[in-house]
Amino acid sequence: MITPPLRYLRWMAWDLARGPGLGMAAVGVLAIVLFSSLTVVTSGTGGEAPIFLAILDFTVTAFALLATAGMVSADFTLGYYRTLFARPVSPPLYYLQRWLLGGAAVLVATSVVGLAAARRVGPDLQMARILAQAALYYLLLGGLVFLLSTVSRRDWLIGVLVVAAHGGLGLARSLGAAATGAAAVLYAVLPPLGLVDVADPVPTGGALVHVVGYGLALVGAALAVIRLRPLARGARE
Amino acid sequence: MIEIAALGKTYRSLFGSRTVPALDNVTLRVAPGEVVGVAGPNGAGKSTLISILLGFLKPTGGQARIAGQAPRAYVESRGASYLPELLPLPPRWTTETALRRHATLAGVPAEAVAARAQHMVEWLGLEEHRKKDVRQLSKGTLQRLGLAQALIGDSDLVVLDEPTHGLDPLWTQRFRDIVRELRRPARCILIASHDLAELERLADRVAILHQGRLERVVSAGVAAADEEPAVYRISVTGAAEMIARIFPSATPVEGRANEWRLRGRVPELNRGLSELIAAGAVVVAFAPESSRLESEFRAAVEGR
Repeated sequence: MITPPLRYLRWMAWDLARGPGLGMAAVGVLAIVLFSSLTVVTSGTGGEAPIFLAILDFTVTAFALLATAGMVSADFTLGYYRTLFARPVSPPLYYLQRWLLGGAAVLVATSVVGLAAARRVGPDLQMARILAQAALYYLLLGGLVFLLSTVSRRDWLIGVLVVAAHGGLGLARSLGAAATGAAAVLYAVLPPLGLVDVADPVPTGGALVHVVGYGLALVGAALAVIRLRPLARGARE
Repeated sequence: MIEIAALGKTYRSLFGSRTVPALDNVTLRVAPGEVVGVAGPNGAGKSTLISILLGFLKPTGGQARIAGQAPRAYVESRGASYLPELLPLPPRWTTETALRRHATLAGVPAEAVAARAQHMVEWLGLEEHRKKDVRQLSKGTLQRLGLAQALIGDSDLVVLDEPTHGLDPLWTQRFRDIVRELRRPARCILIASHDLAELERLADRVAILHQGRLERVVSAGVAAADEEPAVYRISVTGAAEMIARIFPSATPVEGRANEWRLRGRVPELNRGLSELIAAGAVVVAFAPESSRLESEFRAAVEGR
């Protein structure tokens, strides 16, 4: 009987805390220091202080990247899979558990940084919305890096490039350019990160289906690759 | 328990322009309770065979089944006790952490993990290293940790790749005891090694691979010695003149006083030895000149 490796969750959480968790803590501390040094200037409509939201948005991106970078590829590059998966453990379920744990870490870290921002901005900062957007953002970017990690050691770097490309194309579109041709196709194909900005309302209806469907497809594809590809490339690798 | 039928594996480059055959039409059956050695020169296909049996690689021809299941399905449901040739463990794990983690992964109940790890520490002599990081361990200690992590579960499939590599003579001897202790009716033990003498001591049979092909399967151990005539060396003091009469095939070993080469089956040689001792000879040493496995290995690799 194949069971999820829940028994290993404690060790997985420990590894996450001692590895990516340190990077996330550093980013979080940096964000909190920035919050404390900024003057609160709220926008006209929401009263949420755009600069704080921009920092939060950047922080969530960094958290998602840190939580998933090298998630699968490191085990395969360093050969750890040989002892891990000689055990009665399903590799797809093992990495799904790790990915979900990464999502939980992103939400906890976002909560801490969000609360620090809320202390400065006040009750107008909608934590529920920020956390919902962070979860959706993780589903997209975390799902993308998870998928990339099954095939490349440079997963996080490609993730950064996708975020940058999406941001650049989004900016160009907002300025009235890149709305047609290859740029428009590329924008449509890339994960819809523009829909899950922490400064924006949580998408609803078709937009929400788009985000969730895209994210689940990425995670599903990652699990399928892990299941279908040989764990080793060579006899000793 | 292990059924390998016409197994083949060819590595291909990304676009298939370059192919490297690693296994070719290998057929082998390993029964429950058996210890089977896998020998072969470098690049013979031993590690590829092991990778397929653990479900890390997929064959390009034939099939492998373990207890009727595909290897990956078997390993994911029941686990394997596997010692890789190069032990990949994170360098910052301590010995104790590594064992506790692997006990957990192997399905040892949570309340028994600490006791199981402690048992392995004692069994493999890791007491003084339990708090050390993996990166601080010597080659031999790391190998013992590898054995400990491999054996911490209770799998019926044990696969050890070069298990005595790096072990000192004391631990090499201790390893023989460990393998004896591991034997049980439902368990298959597969040992890949370059050390033919070790395989001959430990295994019931040894599969000899060469250039990806299974050249022959040789029965090893004491029982096998009864079957085929072999060359032995005998060293005798007193009544040495009787040697030529009792063993007509005996030839003196050049440059070594009181040493002869004898060829024969073990039962015949034993009868001759009794006669020799009764005639007043003192047998100082009696041993195979080269093991049958070594001869078979050489013949297989040299194509004889």
